[in-house]
Amino acid sequence: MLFNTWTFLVFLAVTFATYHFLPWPGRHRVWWQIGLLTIASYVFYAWHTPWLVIILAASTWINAFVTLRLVRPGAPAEERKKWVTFAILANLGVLVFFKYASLVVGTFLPQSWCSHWGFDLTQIPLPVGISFFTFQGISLVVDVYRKPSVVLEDGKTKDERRKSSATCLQSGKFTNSKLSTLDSRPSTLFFKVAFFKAFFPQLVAGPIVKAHEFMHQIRAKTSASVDWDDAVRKLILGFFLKMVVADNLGEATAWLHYPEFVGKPGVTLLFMLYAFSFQIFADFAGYSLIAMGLARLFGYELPINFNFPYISRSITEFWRRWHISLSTWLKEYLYIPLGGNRRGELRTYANLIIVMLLGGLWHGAAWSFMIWGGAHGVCLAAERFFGVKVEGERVAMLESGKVENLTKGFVAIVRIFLIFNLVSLLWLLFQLTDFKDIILYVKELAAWGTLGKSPQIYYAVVVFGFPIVAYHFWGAAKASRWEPFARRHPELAGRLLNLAYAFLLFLIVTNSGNPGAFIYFQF
Amino acid sequence: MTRHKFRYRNALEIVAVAILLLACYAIFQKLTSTSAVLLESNLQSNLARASRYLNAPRVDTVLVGSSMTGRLLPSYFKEEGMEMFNLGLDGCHSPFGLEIILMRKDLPKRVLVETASLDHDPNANEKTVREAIQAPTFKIGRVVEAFRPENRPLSLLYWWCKQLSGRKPGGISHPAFMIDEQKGDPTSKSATSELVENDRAIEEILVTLKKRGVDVRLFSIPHSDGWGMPQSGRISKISKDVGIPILEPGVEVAKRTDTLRFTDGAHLDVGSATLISQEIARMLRSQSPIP
Repeated sequence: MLFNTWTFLVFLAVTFATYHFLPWPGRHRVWWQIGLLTIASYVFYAWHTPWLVIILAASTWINAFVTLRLVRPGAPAEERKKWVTFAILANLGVLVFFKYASLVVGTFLPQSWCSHWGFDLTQIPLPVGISFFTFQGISLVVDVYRKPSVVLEDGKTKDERRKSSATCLQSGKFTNSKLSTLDSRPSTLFFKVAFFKAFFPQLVAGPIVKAHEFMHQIRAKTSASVDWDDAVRKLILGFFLKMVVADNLGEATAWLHYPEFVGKPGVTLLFMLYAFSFQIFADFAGYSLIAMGLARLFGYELPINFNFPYISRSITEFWRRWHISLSTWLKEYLYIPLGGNRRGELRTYANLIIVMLLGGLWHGAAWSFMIWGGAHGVCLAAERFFGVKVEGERVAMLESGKVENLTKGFVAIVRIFLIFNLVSLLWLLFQLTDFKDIILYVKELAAWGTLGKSPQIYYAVVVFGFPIVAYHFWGAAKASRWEPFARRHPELAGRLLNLAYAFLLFLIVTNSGNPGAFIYFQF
Repeated sequence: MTRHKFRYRNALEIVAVAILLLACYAIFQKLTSTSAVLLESNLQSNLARASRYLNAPRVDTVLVGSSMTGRLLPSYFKEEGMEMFNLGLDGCHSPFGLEIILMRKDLPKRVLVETASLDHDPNANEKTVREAIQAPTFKIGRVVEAFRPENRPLSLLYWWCKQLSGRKPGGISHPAFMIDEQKGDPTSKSATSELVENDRAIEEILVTLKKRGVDVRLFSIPHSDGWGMPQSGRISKISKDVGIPILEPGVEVAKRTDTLRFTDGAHLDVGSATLISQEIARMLRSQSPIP
């Protein structure tokens, strides 16, 4: 089921109303609520291809089973290590079979091998969202292995528990806050794990939620706990980015395929590259914001996934701003276990490249994704080698506008422009998976032909790219300009923000493009 | 984490202001009747054409076809004293245009169907347009003008820019919208079972229109590969089976001139489109008046 469909709107309305307004008995409220959300998530996932739930259920069962083993009191360390290894291999096995078997078989084995065994491994369908929920599974078992209390406690401090209990009693929703939190019995853990794995806002395209970020949030929720202001703002911005920006830009980027782009003038090829750069950001950041907004409606908080990535002044900074949930996942569960930067400079460079190669491959079963990741890894290593640092720096000109900062500001803007162009060029590996096509595209771009310009494509890029540029400008000036202003004039700032969001909502209603699937669904 | 204070004031304000903006825009639309004639992409252009047809007052004559027909602008027919609505949809085949005609209760008196686009198989882009037309948003547009494709604010901006720059008609062509037109001579297709099935469906729609009193005619649109050539066997068979005459303006124009020009091998340029439009108008006038 896609977020940008009317079917989903009905599904959401029914789920939301049932979740919040049905008189669930106070004592078992949390059970009913997570049960309902889990069932709803399975319906959401199975909507177009029902058999997919078998994979999700199997993955859930494996992870829940291992989690139970890991939290068993008195389990020997050796046994726990075996179980966590088994769970990681099982998760990766599912991912490799469904996602990479076709790539491996197609590349390394002769076609006759497949036909000899009577089945074609190159034709295995890719279950949507498998990369996301298997990574969440790994996060769960590793987190529980490191700290079993991740799934046993509600994550609140004593003080928070006391306050929460008092407010619950005041609101009259529950008579006993202790009972509103899932207890720690093994039988309940299964349901917690099932809910964590299936929670529909983030099920098919993230953000990749880690167990330690989410499990402690599982408790009874009331409609009073919904932050409507935040949820509505996130939903509006997310739907605007997806439906108005990404879907309309999709008309222009449809030409970014072989042989459609052949013979186009250089300026058109460059605009198409920018169009794709804007589109992929709008599409994925839009999805993430929608997911965060939806989770908010059910009282949950998902991690932020994008933080104005196109104002990055280095690739290192880019990866701190782009798909943050993936980059932090890779850092926590791959880079650090590999040794991170603690085993000498050479090993650090190697780790960076290995992590990014695998991160690239995570995106899709094609060597071009691996090359894409590898290219980013090489850039990260090179930046580390040359000592490129971004921490503590700010876009000076935007910050103060003082003359002495103009040089710094100019350099920052040049760097932003260069990084944006480098990142955009590398996106070609996402769109054109055949290397011959990529080389041809770059050649045509370099040749800079001038015949047959396409003003309609320029219009689309300028008009629908403008919100992305404006959004990033706002991101750059937010801390230095907007926030002080908002502190001085909170009422006015609030009104201006509301007006901006209302305008975005107006454009969603009147100017949406052709609804397309989210780009990251294929990963 | 759980704060028991409803936080919805801003959310309500946002929704209220958005509704207000929408109302203002709807009033602006109503008062100015401003709408985009050419939109920034093929898909939006097709949706706008379908929307304009479905929401316009009844027109006596409707041209149905692909983007090749789309070049025959109503203004060219007006010069010959004929009111006409052009339902040429980029990359779509004629039966789809006929289906749109059947969506209205009041049918036109005369429908001219492009023969070349009858030869095309329904393809992916037609599916996209069809889905968009069946979507609730498009249906709401039948009632609320502000929701119509031709009234999209950023499409209006495109149309205004276009008028200011004085450029020729055009829009982002989605590659899928180009495939059929670049396949070469469409009449060379063999009669596969799919085509036979396709022809049967076309005949059914044509018969339905005829039964409902519409004067249906086929017309061929010149193509750079052979614009004075006779029709394929399939088209002739459809014409014979349903009892619909075929107008061949290209053959008539070929007798007088050999200067028809095409912008890309398939689409007539402005001068040639005017010539063909005028020839169609003349042929219709000489053959029979509108019933």
